[in-house]
Amino acid sequence: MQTLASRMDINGENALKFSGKMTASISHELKNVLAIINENAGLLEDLCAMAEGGRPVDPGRIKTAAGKMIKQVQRGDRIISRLNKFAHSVDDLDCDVDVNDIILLVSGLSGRIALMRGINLETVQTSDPVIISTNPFLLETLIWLFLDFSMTAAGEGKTVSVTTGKQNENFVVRFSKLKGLAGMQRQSFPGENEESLLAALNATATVDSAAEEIVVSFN
Amino acid sequence: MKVLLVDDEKELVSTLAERLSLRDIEADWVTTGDAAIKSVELKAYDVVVLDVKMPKISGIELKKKLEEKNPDLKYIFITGHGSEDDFITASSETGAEYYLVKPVNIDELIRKMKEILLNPDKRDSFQFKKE
Repeated sequence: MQTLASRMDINGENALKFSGKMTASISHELKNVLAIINENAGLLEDLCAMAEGGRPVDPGRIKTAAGKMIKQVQRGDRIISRLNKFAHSVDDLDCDVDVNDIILLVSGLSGRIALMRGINLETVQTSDPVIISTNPFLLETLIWLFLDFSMTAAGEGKTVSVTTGKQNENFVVRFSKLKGLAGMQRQSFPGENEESLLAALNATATVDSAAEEIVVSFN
Repeated sequence: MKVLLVDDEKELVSTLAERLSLRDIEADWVTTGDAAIKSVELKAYDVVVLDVKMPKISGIELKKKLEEKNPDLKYIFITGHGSEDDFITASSETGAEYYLVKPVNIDELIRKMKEILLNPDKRDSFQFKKE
Protein backbone atom coordinates (compact mmCIF):
# COMPACT_ATOMS: atom_id res chain seq x y z
CA MET A 1 0.00 0.00 0.00
CA GLN A 2 1.42 3.35 -1.04
CA THR A 3 1.44 6.21 1.43
CA LEU A 4 0.56 9.70 0.22
CA ALA A 5 4.21 10.76 0.62
CA SER A 6 5.59 7.85 -1.39
CA ARG A 7 2.91 8.41 -4.03
CA MET A 8 3.96 12.04 -4.35
CA ASP A 9 7.60 10.96 -4.72
CA ILE A 10 6.69 8.47 -7.43
CA ASN A 11 4.48 10.97 -9.24
CA GLY A 12 7.13 13.67 -9.02
CA GLU A 13 9.77 11.34 -10.42
CA ASN A 14 7.49 10.21 -13.24
CA ALA A 15 6.56 13.79 -14.09
CA LEU A 16 10.23 14.77 -14.23
CA LYS A 17 11.10 11.79 -16.42
CA PHE A 18 8.16 12.59 -18.70
CA SER A 19 9.24 16.21 -18.94
CA GLY A 20 12.81 15.20 -19.79
CA LYS A 21 11.71 12.66 -22.38
CA MET A 22 9.45 15.16 -24.14
CA THR A 23 11.96 18.02 -24.17
CA ALA A 24 14.70 15.71 -25.45
CA SER A 25 12.44 14.59 -28.29
CA ILE A 26 11.38 18.16 -29.08
CA SER A 27 14.97 19.41 -29.11
CA HIS A 28 15.92 16.61 -31.50
CA GLU A 29 13.07 17.55 -33.82
CA LEU A 30 14.02 21.22 -33.66
CA LYS A 31 17.59 20.27 -34.59
CA ASN A 32 16.20 18.66 -37.73
CA VAL A 33 14.20 21.78 -38.54
CA LEU A 34 17.33 23.92 -38.14
CA ALA A 35 19.39 21.47 -40.20
CA ILE A 36 16.93 21.69 -43.11
CA ILE A 37 16.83 25.50 -42.95
CA ASN A 38 20.63 25.49 -42.80
CA GLU A 39 20.93 23.34 -45.95
CA ASN A 40 18.43 25.42 -47.90
CA ALA A 41 20.04 28.70 -46.84
CA GLY A 42 23.35 27.17 -47.90
CA LEU A 43 21.84 26.20 -51.24
CA LEU A 44 20.68 29.79 -51.78
CA GLU A 45 24.24 30.93 -51.06
CA ASP A 46 25.55 28.37 -53.55
CA LEU A 47 23.12 29.58 -56.23
CA CYS A 48 24.07 33.23 -55.56
CA ALA A 49 27.74 32.31 -55.93
CA MET A 50 26.93 30.60 -59.23
CA ALA A 51 25.06 33.68 -60.48
CA GLU A 52 27.92 35.95 -59.40
CA GLY A 53 30.26 33.71 -61.37
CA GLY A 54 28.17 34.21 -64.48
CA ARG A 55 26.48 30.80 -64.44
CA PRO A 56 22.76 30.79 -65.19
CA VAL A 57 20.52 29.96 -62.23
CA ASP A 58 17.01 28.58 -62.60
CA PRO A 59 14.67 30.79 -60.54
CA GLY A 60 12.64 27.65 -59.78
CA ARG A 61 15.51 26.34 -57.64
CA ILE A 62 15.51 29.53 -55.58
CA LYS A 63 11.74 29.38 -55.19
CA THR A 64 11.87 25.72 -54.10
CA ALA A 65 14.60 26.37 -51.52
CA ALA A 66 12.72 29.39 -50.12
CA GLY A 67 9.52 27.33 -49.98
CA LYS A 68 11.27 24.58 -48.03
CA MET A 69 12.58 27.14 -45.55
CA ILE A 70 9.12 28.63 -45.03
CA LYS A 71 7.71 25.14 -44.49
CA GLN A 72 10.34 24.38 -41.83
CA VAL A 73 9.75 27.71 -40.08
CA GLN A 74 6.05 26.77 -39.88
CA ARG A 75 6.99 23.32 -38.57
CA GLY A 76 9.29 24.88 -35.97
CA ASP A 77 6.53 27.25 -34.93
CA ARG A 78 4.14 24.34 -34.37
CA ILE A 79 6.75 22.52 -32.27
CA ILE A 80 7.50 25.61 -30.17
CA SER A 81 3.79 26.35 -29.66
CA ARG A 82 3.30 22.79 -28.40
CA LEU A 83 6.32 23.11 -26.13
CA ASN A 84 4.97 26.38 -24.76
CA LYS A 85 1.59 24.80 -24.02
CA PHE A 86 3.35 21.89 -22.33
CA ALA A 87 5.44 24.25 -20.20
CA HIS A 88 2.35 26.17 -19.10
CA SER A 89 0.57 23.01 -18.00
CA VAL A 90 2.22 23.38 -14.58
CA ASP A 91 0.72 26.86 -14.06
CA ASP A 92 -2.40 25.52 -12.34
CA LEU A 93 -2.17 22.42 -10.18
CA ASP A 94 -5.93 21.97 -10.14
CA CYS A 95 -8.20 23.34 -12.84
CA ASP A 96 -10.81 22.41 -15.44
CA VAL A 97 -9.23 20.84 -18.52
CA ASP A 98 -10.58 19.37 -21.72
CA VAL A 99 -9.20 15.83 -21.91
CA ASN A 100 -9.38 16.10 -25.71
CA ASP A 101 -6.84 18.93 -25.58
CA ILE A 102 -4.55 16.93 -23.29
CA ILE A 103 -4.71 13.91 -25.62
CA LEU A 104 -3.89 16.10 -28.62
CA LEU A 105 -0.99 17.72 -26.79
CA VAL A 106 0.55 14.47 -25.54
CA SER A 107 0.05 12.79 -28.94
CA GLY A 108 1.73 15.74 -30.62
CA LEU A 109 4.61 15.73 -28.15
CA SER A 110 5.02 11.97 -28.62
CA GLY A 111 4.86 12.12 -32.41
CA ARG A 112 8.58 11.75 -33.03
CA ILE A 113 8.93 9.01 -30.40
CA ALA A 114 6.09 7.11 -32.09
CA LEU A 115 7.72 7.61 -35.49
CA MET A 116 11.02 6.26 -34.18
CA ARG A 117 9.19 3.19 -32.89
CA GLY A 118 7.35 2.70 -36.18
CA ILE A 119 3.96 3.44 -34.59
CA ASN A 120 1.09 5.33 -36.17
CA LEU A 121 -0.76 7.38 -33.55
CA GLU A 122 -4.45 7.94 -34.17
CA THR A 123 -6.65 10.16 -32.00
CA VAL A 124 -10.44 9.95 -32.14
CA GLN A 125 -12.20 12.60 -30.11
CA THR A 126 -15.73 13.39 -29.05
CA SER A 127 -17.24 16.45 -30.66
CA ASP A 128 -18.15 17.79 -27.21
CA PRO A 129 -15.46 18.88 -24.76
CA VAL A 130 -14.54 16.34 -22.06
CA ILE A 131 -14.08 18.61 -19.08
CA ILE A 132 -12.68 17.30 -15.80
CA SER A 133 -11.20 19.09 -12.82
CA THR A 134 -7.67 17.79 -12.32
CA ASN A 135 -3.94 18.45 -12.27
CA PRO A 136 -3.15 18.92 -16.00
CA PHE A 137 0.54 18.05 -15.76
CA LEU A 138 -0.08 14.81 -13.86
CA LEU A 139 -2.81 13.94 -16.35
CA GLU A 140 -0.35 14.47 -19.22
CA THR A 141 2.14 12.25 -17.40
CA LEU A 142 -0.49 9.54 -16.96
CA ILE A 143 -1.55 9.71 -20.62
CA TRP A 144 2.10 9.44 -21.67
CA LEU A 145 2.76 6.37 -19.48
CA PHE A 146 -0.30 4.62 -20.92
CA LEU A 147 0.60 5.69 -24.44
CA ASP A 148 4.17 4.46 -23.98
CA PHE A 149 2.93 1.06 -22.81
CA SER A 150 0.30 0.99 -25.59
CA MET A 151 2.97 1.55 -28.25
CA THR A 152 4.91 -1.41 -26.87
CA ALA A 153 1.73 -3.50 -26.74
CA ALA A 154 0.74 -2.60 -30.30
CA GLY A 155 4.12 -3.50 -31.76
CA GLU A 156 6.20 -1.99 -34.55
CA GLY A 157 4.37 -1.01 -37.70
CA LYS A 158 0.99 -0.93 -35.98
CA THR A 159 -1.52 1.79 -35.07
CA VAL A 160 -2.39 2.90 -31.54
CA SER A 161 -5.78 4.55 -31.29
CA VAL A 162 -6.54 6.96 -28.44
CA THR A 163 -10.22 7.73 -28.03
CA THR A 164 -12.11 9.91 -25.55
CA GLY A 165 -15.70 9.23 -24.60
CA LYS A 166 -18.17 8.37 -21.86
CA GLN A 167 -18.84 5.06 -20.14
CA ASN A 168 -21.26 4.59 -17.23
CA GLU A 169 -21.44 8.35 -16.66
CA ASN A 170 -17.64 8.57 -16.37
CA PHE A 171 -15.31 10.16 -18.88
CA VAL A 172 -12.90 7.59 -20.31
CA VAL A 173 -9.77 7.49 -22.42
CA ARG A 174 -9.47 4.33 -24.47
CA PHE A 175 -6.12 3.05 -25.79
CA SER A 176 -7.05 0.48 -28.43
CA LYS A 177 -5.82 -1.66 -31.35
CA LEU A 178 -3.19 -3.11 -29.00
CA LYS A 179 -2.55 -6.27 -31.01
CA GLY A 180 0.18 -7.61 -28.77
CA LEU A 181 -1.59 -6.96 -25.46
CA ALA A 182 -2.68 -10.57 -24.96
CA GLY A 183 0.89 -11.74 -25.28
CA MET A 184 2.13 -9.43 -22.54
CA GLN A 185 2.08 -10.18 -18.84
CA ARG A 186 -1.08 -8.50 -17.63
CA GLN A 187 0.07 -8.32 -14.03
CA SER A 188 2.91 -5.98 -15.04
CA PHE A 189 0.56 -3.21 -16.09
CA PRO A 190 -0.59 -0.90 -14.63
CA GLY A 191 2.52 -0.93 -12.47
CA GLU A 192 3.42 1.10 -9.41
CA ASN A 193 4.04 4.28 -11.43
CA GLU A 194 0.70 4.18 -13.20
CA GLU A 195 -1.24 3.17 -10.07
CA SER A 196 0.23 6.08 -8.16
CA LEU A 197 -0.86 8.54 -10.83
CA LEU A 198 -4.28 6.94 -11.16
CA ALA A 199 -4.78 7.35 -7.41
CA ALA A 200 -3.68 10.99 -7.51
CA LEU A 201 -6.05 11.71 -10.39
CA ASN A 202 -8.95 9.72 -8.91
CA ALA A 203 -9.00 7.44 -11.94
CA THR A 204 -9.02 3.70 -12.58
CA ALA A 205 -7.69 1.56 -15.42
CA THR A 206 -8.97 -1.64 -16.95
CA VAL A 207 -6.82 -3.85 -19.17
CA ASP A 208 -8.90 -5.94 -21.59
CA SER A 209 -6.63 -8.24 -23.58
CA ALA A 210 -9.52 -9.81 -25.52
CA ALA A 211 -10.68 -6.40 -26.73
CA GLU A 212 -7.05 -5.35 -27.25
CA GLU A 213 -7.57 -2.18 -25.26
CA ILE A 214 -6.89 -0.34 -22.01
CA VAL A 215 -9.53 1.99 -20.62
CA VAL A 216 -8.77 4.77 -18.15
CA SER A 217 -11.90 5.99 -16.36
CA PHE A 218 -12.09 9.30 -14.48
CA ASN A 219 -14.43 9.16 -11.50
CA MET B 1 33.61 10.15 -54.91
CA LYS B 2 30.21 8.46 -54.61
CA VAL B 3 28.19 9.26 -51.50
CA LEU B 4 24.96 7.85 -50.11
CA LEU B 5 23.03 10.10 -47.69
CA VAL B 6 20.62 8.38 -45.28
CA ASP B 7 18.25 10.34 -43.04
CA ASP B 8 14.49 10.15 -42.49
CA GLU B 9 14.28 13.91 -43.06
CA LYS B 10 13.78 13.94 -46.84
CA GLU B 11 14.22 17.68 -47.23
CA LEU B 12 17.53 17.53 -45.41
CA VAL B 13 19.13 14.78 -47.49
CA SER B 14 17.68 15.94 -50.82
CA THR B 15 19.06 19.47 -50.35
CA LEU B 16 22.39 18.22 -49.05
CA ALA B 17 22.67 15.96 -52.12
CA GLU B 18 21.91 18.92 -54.38
CA ARG B 19 24.62 21.01 -52.69
CA LEU B 20 27.16 18.19 -52.96
CA SER B 21 26.37 17.76 -56.65
CA LEU B 22 27.08 21.48 -57.16
CA ARG B 23 30.55 20.66 -55.81
CA ASP B 24 30.93 17.78 -58.31
CA ILE B 25 30.35 15.08 -55.70
CA GLU B 26 27.99 12.32 -56.80
CA ALA B 27 25.43 12.02 -54.01
CA ASP B 28 22.31 9.85 -53.80
CA TRP B 29 19.85 10.03 -50.92
CA VAL B 30 17.35 7.71 -49.24
CA THR B 31 15.11 8.07 -46.19
CA THR B 32 14.89 4.52 -44.84
CA GLY B 33 17.24 1.75 -43.81
CA ASP B 34 15.70 -0.67 -46.32
CA ALA B 35 16.25 1.78 -49.18
CA ALA B 36 19.86 2.27 -48.05
CA ILE B 37 20.50 -1.49 -48.16
CA LYS B 38 19.02 -1.70 -51.68
CA SER B 39 21.10 1.26 -52.85
CA VAL B 40 24.32 -0.28 -51.53
CA GLU B 41 23.46 -3.55 -53.27
CA LEU B 42 23.05 -1.71 -56.58
CA LYS B 43 25.89 0.80 -56.48
CA ALA B 44 29.48 0.95 -55.26
CA TYR B 45 29.56 3.95 -52.92
CA ASP B 46 32.67 5.22 -51.21
CA VAL B 47 31.05 6.88 -48.21
CA VAL B 48 27.71 6.57 -46.42
CA VAL B 49 26.56 9.58 -44.41
CA LEU B 50 23.83 8.50 -42.02
CA ASP B 51 21.73 9.73 -39.11
CA VAL B 52 22.26 8.02 -35.77
CA LYS B 53 18.53 7.99 -34.93
CA MET B 54 16.06 6.90 -37.58
CA PRO B 55 12.67 5.20 -37.50
CA LYS B 56 12.67 1.39 -37.18
CA ILE B 57 16.44 0.99 -37.47
CA SER B 58 19.21 3.03 -35.88
CA GLY B 59 22.15 4.28 -37.91
CA ILE B 60 24.40 1.98 -35.90
CA GLU B 61 22.31 -1.10 -36.73
CA LEU B 62 22.11 -0.03 -40.36
CA LYS B 63 25.89 0.29 -40.53
CA LYS B 64 26.22 -3.37 -39.49
CA LYS B 65 23.83 -4.43 -42.26
CA LEU B 66 25.56 -2.31 -44.89
CA GLU B 67 28.95 -3.73 -43.89
CA GLU B 68 27.65 -7.18 -44.80
CA LYS B 69 26.83 -5.88 -48.30
CA ASN B 70 30.02 -3.87 -48.81
CA PRO B 71 32.85 -4.20 -46.26
CA ASP B 72 34.82 -1.39 -47.93
CA LEU B 73 32.29 1.35 -47.21
CA LYS B 74 33.27 4.26 -44.98
CA TYR B 75 30.81 5.94 -42.64
CA ILE B 76 30.15 9.40 -41.31
CA PHE B 77 27.44 9.66 -38.67
CA ILE B 78 25.24 12.70 -38.24
CA THR B 79 23.66 13.29 -34.86
CA GLY B 80 21.39 15.83 -33.23
CA HIS B 81 22.54 17.28 -29.92
CA GLY B 82 21.82 15.13 -26.92
CA SER B 83 22.62 11.93 -28.73
CA GLU B 84 26.41 12.22 -28.61
CA ASP B 85 26.59 9.86 -25.66
CA ASP B 86 24.57 7.29 -27.63
CA PHE B 87 26.97 7.72 -30.50
CA ILE B 88 30.04 7.35 -28.31
CA THR B 89 28.67 4.15 -26.77
CA ALA B 90 27.58 2.73 -30.10
CA SER B 91 30.71 3.74 -31.95
CA SER B 92 32.87 1.92 -29.47
CA GLU B 93 30.88 -1.22 -30.31
CA THR B 94 30.81 -0.84 -34.08
CA GLY B 95 33.93 1.14 -34.90
CA ALA B 96 32.13 4.06 -36.49
CA GLU B 97 34.74 6.38 -37.88
CA TYR B 98 33.46 9.93 -38.03
CA TYR B 99 30.61 12.04 -36.78
CA LEU B 100 29.08 15.46 -37.37
CA VAL B 101 26.50 17.33 -35.32
CA LYS B 102 23.42 18.88 -36.97
CA PRO B 103 23.17 21.42 -38.53
CA VAL B 104 25.96 20.15 -40.73
CA ASN B 105 28.62 22.44 -42.18
CA ILE B 106 29.03 21.24 -45.77
CA ASP B 107 32.71 22.18 -45.97
CA GLU B 108 33.37 20.17 -42.81
CA LEU B 109 31.42 17.24 -44.25
CA ILE B 110 33.43 17.28 -47.47
CA ARG B 111 36.69 17.62 -45.51
CA LYS B 112 35.79 14.55 -43.44
CA MET B 113 34.74 12.58 -46.53
CA LYS B 114 38.08 13.26 -48.18
CA GLU B 115 39.96 12.54 -44.96
CA ILE B 116 38.20 9.23 -44.41
CA LEU B 117 39.10 8.07 -47.91
CA LEU B 118 42.72 9.20 -47.65
CA ASN B 119 43.24 7.93 -44.09
CA PRO B 120 40.94 4.93 -43.69
CA ASP B 121 42.32 4.04 -40.25
CA LYS B 122 41.86 7.48 -38.71
CA ARG B 123 38.88 8.18 -36.45
CA ASP B 124 37.35 11.22 -34.84
CA SER B 125 38.29 11.80 -31.24
CA PHE B 126 35.32 12.50 -29.01
CA GLN B 127 36.25 15.95 -27.84
CA PHE B 128 32.80 16.71 -26.50
CA LYS B 129 32.69 13.71 -24.19
CA LYS B 130 31.85 14.72 -20.63
CA GLU B 131 34.63 14.24 -18.11
